[in-house]
Amino acid sequence: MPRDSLGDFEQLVLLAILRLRDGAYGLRIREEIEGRARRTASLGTVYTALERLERKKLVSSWTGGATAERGGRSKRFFKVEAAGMLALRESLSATKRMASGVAALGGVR
Amino acid sequence: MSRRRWNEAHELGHDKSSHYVDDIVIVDNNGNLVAIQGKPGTGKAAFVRLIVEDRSDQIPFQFLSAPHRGSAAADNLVLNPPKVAEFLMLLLPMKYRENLVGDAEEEYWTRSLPTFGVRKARLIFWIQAIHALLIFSVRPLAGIAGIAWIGKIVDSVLSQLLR
Repeated sequence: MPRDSLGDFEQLVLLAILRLRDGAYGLRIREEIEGRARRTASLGTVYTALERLERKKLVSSWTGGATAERGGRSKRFFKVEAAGMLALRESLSATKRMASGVAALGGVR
Repeated sequence: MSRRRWNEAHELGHDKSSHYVDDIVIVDNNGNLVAIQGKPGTGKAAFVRLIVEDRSDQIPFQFLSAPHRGSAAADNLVLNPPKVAEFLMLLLPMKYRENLVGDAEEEYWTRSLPTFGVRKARLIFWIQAIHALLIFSVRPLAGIAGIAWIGKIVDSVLSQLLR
């Protein structure tokens, strides 16, 4: 078991950050999760997950630029750290191993 | 573009338009004036929104109509996100406060308002604010007080509303 086992939603957040590359901030992460995973989440939910991941040092963040449509408020961008990549890989492969050969899942290997 | 078009439109005798802020004027492809309201203070065409009451830019131009300037409908039209909800979000933890409020506002202007109209967009903003407050501020306290189950119920209701 890895030191920092990931929750289901944390996995989605990490994958969203990786997909968005340099443009990963709260709202875009949420939209990515909604669009791809078809899972509804509030901004608060996304930020609590990000806060948890940052506390575990799986992601890092920095403050970006402000735009008028944000009322002049800045964005906080997120990046997956090496530890985050490792935790994500371990978590995904654990899920895959568990699902492998389960007939009820329709022959997932 | 806005000011010039606005003047042109007035010269053409169009008067069925609402005019709240400077950057709200546009003419459709057929030369007809449609009422557009922009975000006050931006002064940029990029932030012009095709919003007339609860209608949005998803609706073809010919179906858009605008209240007369000074009419009750026009006077009641408030486009900004709810101020009280924004104020409540000041209770969020300092670290993510600015970013979270900024994200909520960006979502309001770029997604909720054009898609759903004013009323639903403002409701969504309220839900985001309450949910964020619940998660960041109230839930930890509720855990201490042993009433976390109330938070879970409210959390679940708000999540359903966001669907």
